[in-house]
Amino acid sequence: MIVLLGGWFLLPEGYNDAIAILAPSLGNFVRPTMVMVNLLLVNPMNSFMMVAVWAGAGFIGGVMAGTKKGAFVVGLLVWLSCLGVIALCVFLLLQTGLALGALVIPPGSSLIDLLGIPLIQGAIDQILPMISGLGGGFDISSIMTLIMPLLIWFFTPVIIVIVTAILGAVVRPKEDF
Amino acid sequence: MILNYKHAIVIVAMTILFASPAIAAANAGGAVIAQDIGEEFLFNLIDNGAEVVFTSIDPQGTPSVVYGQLGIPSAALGLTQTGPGQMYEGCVVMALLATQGELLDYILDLVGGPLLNLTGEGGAMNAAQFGEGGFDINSILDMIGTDFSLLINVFIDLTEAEAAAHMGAIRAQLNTQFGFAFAELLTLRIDESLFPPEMEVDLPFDAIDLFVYQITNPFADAVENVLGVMDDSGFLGAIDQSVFTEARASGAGLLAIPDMGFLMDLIEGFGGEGTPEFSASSFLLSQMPDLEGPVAVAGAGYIGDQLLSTTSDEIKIFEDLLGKAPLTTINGLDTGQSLVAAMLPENVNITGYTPEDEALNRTFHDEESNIVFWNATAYTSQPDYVISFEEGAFPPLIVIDRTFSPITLTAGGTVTVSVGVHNEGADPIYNITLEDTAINDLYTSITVSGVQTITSAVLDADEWLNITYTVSFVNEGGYVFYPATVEYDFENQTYSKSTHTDGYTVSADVIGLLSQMISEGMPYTGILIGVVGLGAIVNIGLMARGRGGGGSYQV
Repeated sequence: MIVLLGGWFLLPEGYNDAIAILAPSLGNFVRPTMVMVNLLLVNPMNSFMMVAVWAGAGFIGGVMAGTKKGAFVVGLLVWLSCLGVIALCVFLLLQTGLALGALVIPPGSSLIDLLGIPLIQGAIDQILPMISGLGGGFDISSIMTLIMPLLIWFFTPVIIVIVTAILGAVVRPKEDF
Repeated sequence: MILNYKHAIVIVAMTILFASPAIAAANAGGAVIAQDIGEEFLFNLIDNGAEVVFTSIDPQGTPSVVYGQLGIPSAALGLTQTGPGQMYEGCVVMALLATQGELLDYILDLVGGPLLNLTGEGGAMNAAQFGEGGFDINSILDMIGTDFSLLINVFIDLTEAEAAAHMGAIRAQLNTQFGFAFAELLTLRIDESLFPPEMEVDLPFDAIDLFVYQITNPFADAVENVLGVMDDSGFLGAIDQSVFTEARASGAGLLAIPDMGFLMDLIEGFGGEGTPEFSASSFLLSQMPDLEGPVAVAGAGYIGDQLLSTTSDEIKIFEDLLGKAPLTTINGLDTGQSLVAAMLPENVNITGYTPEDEALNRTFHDEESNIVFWNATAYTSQPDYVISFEEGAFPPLIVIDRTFSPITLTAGGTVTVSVGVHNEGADPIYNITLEDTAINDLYTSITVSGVQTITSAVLDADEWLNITYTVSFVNEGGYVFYPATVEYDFENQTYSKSTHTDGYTVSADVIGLLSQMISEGMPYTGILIGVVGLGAIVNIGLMARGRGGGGSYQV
């Protein structure tokens, strides 16, 4: 719940711009999908708020679990639950039907505003230079080079939430009587 | 494309904001663009410092206004700090731009589309790659939007750390001295390490660092800050800056080149060391004078609503178009040249203008283009620059307005849109057609009902013509209402006016979204809720069983 609320209310402005552009055509499930994408793909270098949200949720979960094993399970379950929610969101998004006819930027904003999305900033900073560097063609190592940042961003939340959950369990362990 | 009076304002705006240094550079060699304007004219303006007010009135009485300064802002920006370790070391160019409303639409409609045949109607330069039908330039603006507030800096041949440090220093100076605030959008470094060794790429530079920042100030503040960069000893002292922010379409920007000579050397260097081939760009470069040192231009402009009508017989450039208070006076720059130019439609018969000093070669009325020029440096404490003309040159004052009620709503709601045309003139207009149907084809998820088009044979003075319709939104998002238009006849001429492009925000309905997720996600959401509920029940049961003997926490 902490993760979902944090993701919903701390959505970076760039995502809101993207939602304003996409939602009229793609439907109301664009926002929860964006929220979950923002939660589950965390570039630790520029998305400190989401790092804090995962860390906070993990810590509280760890405190409640009270044991390291329990904290690990709680952290993992939180992350897996979020994976389930994003799967549901994407399913609903596709089920609603995609009408890509109109992609109109509302007055007062521009496509450049989307650069405010940490994910896109990270992509430009890390992935584009790599794509440029692939001039000689694709091979396994170059594909891995491209995928590696995405994998890091994908696994960052689960690592954070589990580590902080264990920290929470260590700080306030449960006693057995 | 045949250039007409409308294009002049755009050309001047683009010249002032973006192209002046290059044109000025080309001018000294006698390039074609400059020959039309006058030998070394723009070059001298930039070299000596100048301010220019250029205004244009279209046949419907709608003004377009540009105010710019050339050369002068370079001192305020500290562009001379190009030495080792100084903030503009290695900086090739700095551009700052803030626009709102339909400014880019207007400029591209007048210049971009027809010139490049982007509308498919045949232009001076045929963009054959877009096919016979051409390419609709408006679709590009639909995709990228038209409101920008950006700072772009390019550094060359610095280390990454040096470029970042200099960029930081420039941002700090723009922030502390002029009040700009920035958010980082993009930092990109291009050097040979970007390319695999087997490509054997040989760049004509060691590295280029590109920085793009969003200006986070509100648009009005951004414009004020741009004007703050300029010398306010001249026209700026008499101008009400709000004219540049309250218009339907406006913008402001500055372009700074810390060392023009360095830039020219760099461009020449891009040509490589092979056999020189003759081309338009190589010709222009060969004509460049020995330009050195900083060059900067800054300007602001707007496109307004109808100002002149059937009863108008004069226009005061500063009071009517630039918001000057009636009892104040206008002075030129202390440090450079001050010029005023005003263009009226060809059919307007100019009967006189003040001040008028053609005998002393201080003013000039070009009857062919219907432009009046003033060398404002020759006048001190001038009440205004005024053009008089015969009445009846413009149509009655017609106002078209669109309102939304409520002004915002949540998904699932309905907005009532009212569009009204008011004849505020003294004469009737005829064959009026009021239409606001653009929203219908734009979104498939909306439901529209009501009257969106109405016609009337006549609309007398002080009468209204109205339409009202409703739009229901299923989805949240930012919706665009393209301009509603009115067409009418007056004295055997057909005129048209339009509202602004409006945005309408439909915000998320959290409760509605949750219930929508649950209902549309069945049976999966049902299973999920069941599992969570079962887990909760089990936990509650375990807690109840463990009460009094369960685990507790160390404190």
